[in-house]
Amino acid sequence: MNDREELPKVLYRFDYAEDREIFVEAFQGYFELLICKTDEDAKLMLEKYGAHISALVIDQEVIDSSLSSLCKSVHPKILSIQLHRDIALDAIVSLLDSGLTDKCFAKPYDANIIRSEIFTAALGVDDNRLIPLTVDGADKTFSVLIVDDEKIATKFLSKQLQHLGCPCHILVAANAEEALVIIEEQKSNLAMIISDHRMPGITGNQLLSEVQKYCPHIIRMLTSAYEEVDIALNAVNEGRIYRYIKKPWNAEEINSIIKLSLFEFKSRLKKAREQELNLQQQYQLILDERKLNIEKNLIEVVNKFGGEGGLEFFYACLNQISPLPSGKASLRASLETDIETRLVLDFSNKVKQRLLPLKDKLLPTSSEAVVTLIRKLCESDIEATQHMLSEAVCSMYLDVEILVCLQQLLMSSGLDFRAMALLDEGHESVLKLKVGTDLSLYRHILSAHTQVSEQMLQQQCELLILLLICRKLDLDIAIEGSAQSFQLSIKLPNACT
Amino acid sequence: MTFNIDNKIRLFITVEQRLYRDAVLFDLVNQKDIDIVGESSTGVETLSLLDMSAPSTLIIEENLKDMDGLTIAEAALLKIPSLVVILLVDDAISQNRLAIYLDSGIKSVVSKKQSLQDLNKSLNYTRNGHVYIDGERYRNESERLKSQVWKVENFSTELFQLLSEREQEVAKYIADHIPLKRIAEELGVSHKTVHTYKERILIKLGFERLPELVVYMKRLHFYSLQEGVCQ
Repeated sequence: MNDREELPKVLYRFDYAEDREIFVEAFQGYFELLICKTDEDAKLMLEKYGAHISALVIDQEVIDSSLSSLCKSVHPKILSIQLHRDIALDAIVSLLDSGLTDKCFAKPYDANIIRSEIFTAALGVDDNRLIPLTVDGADKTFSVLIVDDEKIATKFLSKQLQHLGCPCHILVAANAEEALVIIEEQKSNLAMIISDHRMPGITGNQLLSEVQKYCPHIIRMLTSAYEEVDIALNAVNEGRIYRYIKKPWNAEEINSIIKLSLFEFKSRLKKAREQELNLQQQYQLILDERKLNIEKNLIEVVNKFGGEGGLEFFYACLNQISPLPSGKASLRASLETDIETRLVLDFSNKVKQRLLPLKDKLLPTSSEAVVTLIRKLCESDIEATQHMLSEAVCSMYLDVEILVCLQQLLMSSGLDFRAMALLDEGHESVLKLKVGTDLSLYRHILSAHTQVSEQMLQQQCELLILLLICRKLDLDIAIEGSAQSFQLSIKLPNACT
Repeated sequence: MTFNIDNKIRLFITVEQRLYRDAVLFDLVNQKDIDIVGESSTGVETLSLLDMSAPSTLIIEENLKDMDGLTIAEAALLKIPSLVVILLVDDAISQNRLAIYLDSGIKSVVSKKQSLQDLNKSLNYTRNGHVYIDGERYRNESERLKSQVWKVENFSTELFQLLSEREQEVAKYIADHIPLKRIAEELGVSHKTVHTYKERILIKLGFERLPELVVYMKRLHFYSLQEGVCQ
């Protein structure tokens, strides 16, 4: 869906007219349907539209993967869907082995799910995101977890695999509950899980669906001695399994599947790491440009207010805080929307407007008044705080504005002045957050953004103004950052000094 | 990492407006496979309650007073990567924005202009952690208009016509809040028979609870009045 007004294109290959009618009825209007009765027609469509096709839907009873293979070679990201009235388990196994089919639905199918799958593919959203592991996977020996309630058979298989030189550590569990404990402990070492379906308690299919949700990077395989087509289809569509292995087990076959899966696992990890690195590099360029544009807009007005170095001080404080990380979403937002322009302009305008009335404020001769006010605020409820602050902002002195900034920062974290304490430390008072309290900061002006929010802009503006005022009044302000939060303290000279 | 193996939805809902939150909760609270584990009106509070409530699904409004819902959702996903997040937006969004939301880890986006049934659909289709896009939102404009016309026609005539004469009669009584016992007296049948009629009506119209039938009957009445005016 590059052109967002255009409907996603779906290549539909069918055998029977009645199937086509049902399909057209369910999908017309949602997608541009490229309907083909023969493989030759489909190839022509593929030549004509190529990578503009979002999904291939094959509605044939006899499985022939040549068209899927051709489509995947032309357009590897195409979503390949098979629709079947009566599919055999062997066919599902071979579809998975070929790696050419993403989804397989039995008729009558739920059109809502298929539409959602196609829209998701057309938007280029990867629903099965891999989490790049921090460890270097190249030299590490990963583990395979085999889950089966037939303990003797598992033990025997485990010994055979060791004898065959299995490239993974072999872990075993007699049921899903045991498996979940092992997964929790070993999730950074586990490359794959092979689970039997029929077990007392939680079934293998349920187990793999959960693993898909919690640890999507672990390759999942289901085994069963029974011809359960529904279970296999569910495991393909919901659990996103990599293989379906029919019992009885053959150790040599399992060993070669483990080798293949390990290769797949490592290449997925490598790909995820490369994507991550690429994303970081692209985002850094965007941030550099954003920083330049903010400076262009604000440097003059900021320097005029508080002398040189105000923005650098602000950036240095921000760099101590770890905001939400950048990802595909923030990169997409920066590249495909006007978010960068808005961030720079809206932030700059906000800061300029906020600074405008402050330039006429007087520098206080003593901090006595503001310290007294802070003491009252730290003991007052929200309503009283509001009242006191609205009176205080009429003051002609600049130091009161510190409290306005603080109130906004506290509010953004769901707090008020009661979360702060004023401590006497000899010749000065230190205003800081009480123990165990942090100010939240999920995103800042130099971090990744998925949208421009008014609350974030306000929070950033007040933080900058607070830092600028403290510099101007020569007050010592310290910011100590951590993950999506920070601590703040301001030293105020005591009245007697 | 807490596995949610019974596949029940452990729902946390963050909506600022109390009335709106109550409406959604009242609709969901009776569903057997949904456990309401927490609610909040602000983003910061939501994040502070996540560890304690351990939800599997979070319904969160986009525009919250303290912070935008998308940022809160992303922070929540950092804490619980398996969390299913459904974002409630004020209005339909472009496909561009939808892609950004989904790339952020949001599983489904529902506009406040959609129905509670649509929200239910999103809850159910995302329960296994998969993305769900309601295709109707992005359907070709002319086809959508056609289907809306069809829906209205279907609503006022065909769907109601699925009911037998007796069932239609019972549905009208129910819409007027007449107790089943009195309906039985009026029709000269047993209380059990009226109860059976009621169950059949709900099944035929695809409803789960009585309030849905009452609202449907009110709308049916409203549309028939409108049609009368148009004619």
